[in-house]
This record gives sequence, C-alpha cells and structure tokens, in this order.
Amino acid sequence: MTTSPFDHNPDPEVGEALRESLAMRGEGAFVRRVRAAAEPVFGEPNGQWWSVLGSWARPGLVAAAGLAAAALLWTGLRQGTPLPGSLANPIVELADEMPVPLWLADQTAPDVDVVLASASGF
Amino acid sequence: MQDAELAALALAGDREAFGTLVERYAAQARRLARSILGNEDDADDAAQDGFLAALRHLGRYDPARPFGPWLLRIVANAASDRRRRRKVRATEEVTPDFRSKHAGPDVQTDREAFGQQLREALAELPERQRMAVVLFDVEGYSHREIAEVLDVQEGTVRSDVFHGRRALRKALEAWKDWREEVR
Repeated sequence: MTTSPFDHNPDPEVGEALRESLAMRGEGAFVRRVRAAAEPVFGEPNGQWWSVLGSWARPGLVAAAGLAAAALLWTGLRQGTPLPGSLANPIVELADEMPVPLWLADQTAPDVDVVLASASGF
Repeated sequence: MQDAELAALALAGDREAFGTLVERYAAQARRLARSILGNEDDADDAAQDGFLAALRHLGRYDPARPFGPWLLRIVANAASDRRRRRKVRATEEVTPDFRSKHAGPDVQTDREAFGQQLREALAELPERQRMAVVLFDVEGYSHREIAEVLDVQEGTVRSDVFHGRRALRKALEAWKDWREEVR
C-alpha cells in the first residue's frame, strides 16, 4: 500500500500494529482507579464549578467597579452637589468668611520682647 | 447519551456521568499516553492526571465541539509534562538478534518482541509525529481534530502522519513474514 501526505484514510496495517503494541491490560481497574481518584475532586469546594466562577471573577470585578464608578458620578450629577475639596481659590473662599486684613493679621498674642524692642526703637 | 450531555452532568457533580466518560475514553487516553511515555505505569498515571484535570476544567469545555479531542489534548499535555519531569527510564532493549534467540513455537514471545520493537520505532519519532500517527491511524480522528489536539495547522498534521507512517512501515517491514504467519 502506498501512502501520501494527502492520504485521508487511516492506514489499517500501521493502525492495527500500533493498536496491538500500545494495548494495555486492566482497563476495568483503571476506570475504577480514576473514579476513586475523582471523588475528592467532586468534593472540593473549589472544584469544577469554582473554576467556572474563577474564570468569571476578573471581568466581573472590572465590570462591577465600572458600574459603581458610573453610579457614583450619576448620583453626584443628579443631586447637583459641588465636588468636594474644590481647590479653586482658598484665599477667596476664606475672604468670604472674614475680612482680608483680619485674615492676614496674626491671630496670636504678640511676644512681649518683640513689643518692647519695637517701642525702644530697636 | 452524548458526550456533551455527560460532560454537563459531570460538571453538575454527577459521578456516574463522569464514570461513563472515563469508560468511553480510557482506552484511547491510555494508548495516547503510552505512545508518549512508553512505560505502562507512567501512561496510566498520565491518563489519570488527564481525566482529573479535565474534570476540574469541565466548565471550559465547549459542548458545541467534540469531547474526544478536547480530552485527549489534556491527556497529551499531562503525558508530555510527565515525560519532561521524569528521569527517562531505560526501556528493555531488543537486540537485533532477539528473534534468533527467541524464535520458535512461542508465538507470544515473538508477539511481545514485535510490540516492543514497534514501540521503540515509535519512540524514535518526534513526539508530535508520534501522537499524530496514533490519533489518525489507531484512534481514527480526522486531521482537523488532530490539529485541535496538537494545536497545529491541519497541513502539519498531514505531514506528521506521513513521515511517522513512513518510519513505522520500515519497522513493520522486518516483521512482515512473521505477521503473515501468525495471522
């Protein structure tokens, strides 16, 4: 029989010889052994269903974070509250609350030595 | 019951369904593992590793695709991994004069020698060629399915099957008369 790279059919002679030489006994015992070994896998809390959830975890977390951020932004816009911690101009904001000269003046009592030195002309 | 249905049941925790899948694919998985590892015990360990890995990852199986190539890919990976990790055990050498020493009425001895020689010829092939020939000529998978198992192009599978067969045919040639005799 001739074979070619384009041959679509299995070669029965090679197939039969290989099947014979790779045959293994004790198939029933093997099946029982695998089933017994699979028992703990079925019992694992992180068994096969966990791997499914695990594969969803990362995209799920990203999606949840995106949704939370969008919800916060939407809520803020709807309520019309200014964004906290505006750094537009702290001096102007403070000036609204008290006169600027008062704000610029030192609020603590002057040091006695400094007052005396000023009075003495030093 | 179809493989995909059994896989879905096994994913839901049905032990019987998983057992049926193991029964259905045990022979193929063991042969493929043996073609990679040579040794029977190692092949059984690798095939078992493959079945358990498949069970753990059943959620990733696409039921629209055939189950066999998906499973055998996992088994092949498990066997290749084991082969890389283990210290290669020396296989029983079949000396060229084995037949002359053992020839005689003991057909079983000759059969074992033949099997051994063919496995050695198989072991000399590159791993991918070996798997391609076994999956095509022994298990009857299509080139496309084997391409999925081996993660290569279909053309590569055709080429691997061709070259693998050619080498194995040389090994078979030496036993041609004997094979015709014992048939």
